[in-house]
Amino acid sequence: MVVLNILMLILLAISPIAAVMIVPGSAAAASPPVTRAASYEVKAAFIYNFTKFVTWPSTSFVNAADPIKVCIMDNSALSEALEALAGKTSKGRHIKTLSYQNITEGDRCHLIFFGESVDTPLTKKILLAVGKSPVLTVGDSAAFVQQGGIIRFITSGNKLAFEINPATARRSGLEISSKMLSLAKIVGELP
Amino acid sequence: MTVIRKPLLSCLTVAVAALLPFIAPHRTAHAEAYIDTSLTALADFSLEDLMQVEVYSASKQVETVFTAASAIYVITGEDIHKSGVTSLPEALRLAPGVQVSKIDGNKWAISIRGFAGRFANKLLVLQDGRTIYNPLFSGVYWNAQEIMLEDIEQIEVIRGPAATLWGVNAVNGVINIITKHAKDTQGGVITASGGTSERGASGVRYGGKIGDAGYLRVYGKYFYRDVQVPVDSPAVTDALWNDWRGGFRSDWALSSKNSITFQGDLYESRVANALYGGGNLLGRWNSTLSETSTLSLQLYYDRTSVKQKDHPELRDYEIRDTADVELQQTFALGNRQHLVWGTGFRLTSDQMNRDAAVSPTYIPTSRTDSLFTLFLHDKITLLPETLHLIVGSRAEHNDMTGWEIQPTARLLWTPHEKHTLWSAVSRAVRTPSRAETTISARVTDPDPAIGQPEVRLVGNSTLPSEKMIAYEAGYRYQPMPALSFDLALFYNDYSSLVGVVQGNPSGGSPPTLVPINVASTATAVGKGGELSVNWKALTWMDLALAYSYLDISVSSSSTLMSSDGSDFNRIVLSGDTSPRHQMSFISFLTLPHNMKCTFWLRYVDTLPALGVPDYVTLDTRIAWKPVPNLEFSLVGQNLLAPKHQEFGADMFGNSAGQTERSMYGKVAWLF
Repeated sequence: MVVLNILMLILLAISPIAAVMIVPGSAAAASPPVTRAASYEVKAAFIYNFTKFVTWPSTSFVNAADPIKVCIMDNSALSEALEALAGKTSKGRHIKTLSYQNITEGDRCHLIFFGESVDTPLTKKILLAVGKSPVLTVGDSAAFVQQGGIIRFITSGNKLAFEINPATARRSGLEISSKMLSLAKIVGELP
Repeated sequence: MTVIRKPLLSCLTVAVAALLPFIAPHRTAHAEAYIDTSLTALADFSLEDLMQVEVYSASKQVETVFTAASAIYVITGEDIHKSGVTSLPEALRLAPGVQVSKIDGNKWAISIRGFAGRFANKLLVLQDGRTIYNPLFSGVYWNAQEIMLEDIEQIEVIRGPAATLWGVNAVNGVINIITKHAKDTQGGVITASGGTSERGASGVRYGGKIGDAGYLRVYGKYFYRDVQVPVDSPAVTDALWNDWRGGFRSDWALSSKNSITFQGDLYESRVANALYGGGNLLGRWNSTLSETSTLSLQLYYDRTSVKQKDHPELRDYEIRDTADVELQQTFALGNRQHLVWGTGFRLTSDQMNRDAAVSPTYIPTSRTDSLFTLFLHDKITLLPETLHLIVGSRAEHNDMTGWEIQPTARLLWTPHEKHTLWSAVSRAVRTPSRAETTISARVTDPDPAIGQPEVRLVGNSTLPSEKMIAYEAGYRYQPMPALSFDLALFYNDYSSLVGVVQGNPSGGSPPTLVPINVASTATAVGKGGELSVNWKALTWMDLALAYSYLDISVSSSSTLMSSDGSDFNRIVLSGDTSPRHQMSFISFLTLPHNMKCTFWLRYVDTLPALGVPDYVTLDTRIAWKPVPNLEFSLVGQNLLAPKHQEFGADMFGNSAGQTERSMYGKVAWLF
């Protein structure tokens, strides 16, 4: 009898799931050819795209010609990929890529990407130094957002997605468009 | 009526939904082509488009759980943390289809797809590539495996045979415990906890960097716990389970293509006079040979010992040394074949109780066994991204039964990115254990006054391996990233199962000795299935549901009644020691003000052979992080009843205990 009761309970609990299942989704649609690319190239394209959806406070830039500085903390091919996009503009500004070897004290990064090769203590140290200044921090490691980062790449199946902690972004004075937020997995405190 | 109709309706919708993949058109042949996109083209993609691009990492073929051709479930370190469990065996309850029955305070009967017992012998259990089941009885001393739970990256649980890839003993399943890379445990953690059953526990771990590319962590852990109240006695014993251990792990990147790992542990676990101790050292070298090929070489040494504190030569005495070397390579052959091959050699040497007057004894008292293994596993692409055939086999030579062959054939069909179907036929064997072949144990003491003979259990050195042919099928469905279903069905056909037969009495009339001989006495059929559903229902709510069904029937050619009227073989063969139904429902909630909450409800059916009633139990955990590096948690376990029984006594004189309702509080500080 206990079994039956529990079965009933579980069936009731999963009935909304069952309803979701029978909604005809893309399962029935014809599949287009699959586009694929190397992971670091897609991340570079994501980062470029992020700069279009994030508004930095005007005080972040010296003048209208000041580029968006993207600092890459990684020894991977991602820096090169982003450099290849240097000719592109985002919101009328050029993208300037700085790899970790040539970041100097005076550089004010608008976006910092933390690759897999960056260890936890260094990540924490930089995030602490960034504090609440308007820097979009993007990372790969599992605990990146918990450590105070704003955006983290997540892998879902063979595809990339991203999670955002909007509270951290807000505290940093960054404005992330609702469109970008709607595509992200929202983490952190509840609104 | 309405009460009935709702579940009925859901049943129907589930059934219809299950049929969907067969109705829905799958990817057609011409659409399989990939478009390899250039970087400049990618830059013009929208965020939505980018999210649809399939990514590949340059060196590794990633086989996600979703597209695996076996019944695999991954328990993450995060799940373990949030569940509030305090020991490794309890953490295994998080996986569907795993039976975890607590026998008493420090013993568990753990099995997958049946045949549970403290000495459950059809599972392969590994930690970071090191085998931790004991060849004395082909089972695991779970009380000696209390590793630091904070260091666990994940536990992979494979239900069903996986002998081809994993090797000996992987008949009913594999439990593979993987600890975190030293890079991911930088900084320090201190934990302290105390409660009603979990009396006191403390753990310390610290991780640092060595040079440019090396990482190291060291840890130490100590706890003492209650030993449970026996079922048939209300007496509260003062006995405690004391356990300490320490160890390290170091990972070094020698170059972008070469890395090495060194790790080791030292431990001692004590209940009353029984001391379980040991230590191990492991080294592994991983090398990326090319974009499609990797090579790994692993060496380890392991010592385990079981002693009686005050009488070092007494019962259960065992010292075992094991050395193992394994080489494994993966490579691609053309575009359509992905191969893994490997070879290994293991030596295990033991010293058993030397006092012939004490039971049990083993003949000879010291023995060294070798094991040689060679395997090849090929994943063949029949239709790109859609249909794969996996074939493989393992050849193994052991000193007891000679060569054993364990092949598998699996078909994997991914008609659509949201659906995976797989099926498999495999053969697996369990080689006889040291105990089954050489034991001599007194079951009943002789009593000449009443003419009662001695009854003695005698091992069989010509015992063949237990064999199993398994037929499996599975289906996974992921309608959206936040929701996934996983169903696996199996039919296991066992032969040459090890039981006991009565031998010829000796010593005249009335006889003074009645031997009970270990022999192949039974065949069995196990069938059933497991369903798990994982649903991230809301951004702050994760739900996981698991249900498993198991039906085992053992046909034994011999019955041997013990004095209390129970059939020895029924217990020895462990046919009825598993629940028919098991259910688990867990919900992880992320609450405002940095609080987290977990509810975990479980149901376990009766164990007919042991007379253990069914039970429902609930665990809860509430955790608060006032600042990011400090966590307080309060955990309630087995809350629905003051106490319940999970397993029964066995023929080795281990009586069963009662699991009590308990609570503990814990503080974890990260620095």
